[in-house]
Amino acid sequence: MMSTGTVTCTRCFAPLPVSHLNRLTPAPCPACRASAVTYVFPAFFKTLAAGQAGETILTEGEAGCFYHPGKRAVRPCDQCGRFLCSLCDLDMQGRHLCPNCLSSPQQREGMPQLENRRALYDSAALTLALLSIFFWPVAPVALGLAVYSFKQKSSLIPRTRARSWFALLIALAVLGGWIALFASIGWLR
Amino acid sequence: MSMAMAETNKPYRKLPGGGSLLLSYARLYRAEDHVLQVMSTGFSESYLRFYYRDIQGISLRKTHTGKIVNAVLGAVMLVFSSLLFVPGAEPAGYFLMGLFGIPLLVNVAFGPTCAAHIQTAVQRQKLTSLGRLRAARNTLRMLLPLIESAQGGALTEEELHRRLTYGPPPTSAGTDSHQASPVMSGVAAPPPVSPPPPPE
Repeated sequence: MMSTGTVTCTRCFAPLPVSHLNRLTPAPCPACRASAVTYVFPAFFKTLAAGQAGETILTEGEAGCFYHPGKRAVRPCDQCGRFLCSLCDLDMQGRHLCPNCLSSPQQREGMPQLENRRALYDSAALTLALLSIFFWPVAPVALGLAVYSFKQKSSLIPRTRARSWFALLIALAVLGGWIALFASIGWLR
Repeated sequence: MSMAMAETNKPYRKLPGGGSLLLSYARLYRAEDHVLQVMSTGFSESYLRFYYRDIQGISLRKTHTGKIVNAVLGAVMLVFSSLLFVPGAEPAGYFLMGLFGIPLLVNVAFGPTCAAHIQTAVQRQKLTSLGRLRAARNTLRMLLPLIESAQGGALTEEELHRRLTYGPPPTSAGTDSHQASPVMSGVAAPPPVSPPPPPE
């Protein structure tokens, strides 16, 4: 399926007839006979709006962009104050930022829609805690990670702190068990 | 509703399906204005967002993977069934047949397999979590009204036929075009050239 004005089969890229589109019942491709359900939406026929190229400075002394000195500055960055041309001016929810500020982790903190990765400390802690049942030296690491996970963000999909609590309890149980075992061995001696 | 408010009100609802690659597990969620694909390794997650207004098309194509798996498991079961005729080896035969028979039953129960793709102006992304046709169709049924609502309605068959055959009707803004998106066609669109200001 390519937005070239024709809708194509995803297997053999042969054009699909209109009668095969926007139906919930599968239809075979005329070329490779692969059965498919293909839906096309109005966005298929829209072209992307062209980006704004920065305007060249024509008058000497005119303010220039920090990243493109030959381009006219149109506004400052709301975060760092650097002058920006229309190409570098990135509008994010009403704030105008430069590419450097937009890519900074501190700026992304306040914009969940820019997050594309998260570490799952609670899952890691639970995995290590379960592993510590068979290999006890991992238990202190699991305990520390479980405590650390309480302060960190979990998955972007909201979920409870159950994993952190289970990891904490399991790690404490394993550590407590081994401490008791070593203590009893020492007492017996 | 801002994204921050939406996140505290649990905006994500899981869509049917779930698939795995070698070391990761994929799931799909729908939000107010986008579909979220989550790839999880157990220790980290990566996210891909597809905003409803940007989705150009969705394709669900039946594949033969399920049938191939059925054939392989069935053949292995058939081979191990020969142990039933060996005196003393019946328990092993039953065990091995069950070992491969249960996955075979599960595979049959899940139904035919498919490959689902979602297309925007800049990518065609395979949706790993939609590996079964049943789940994929259910997901498509749930997403259709959301996408059409975000894009101002569905395309009728007549409109679709006209646009694919003749291109869009001329508009005063001239923004619609049946020509390829520059990214997808591989031809870079020339940057707009603004005329220099007249000398003062």
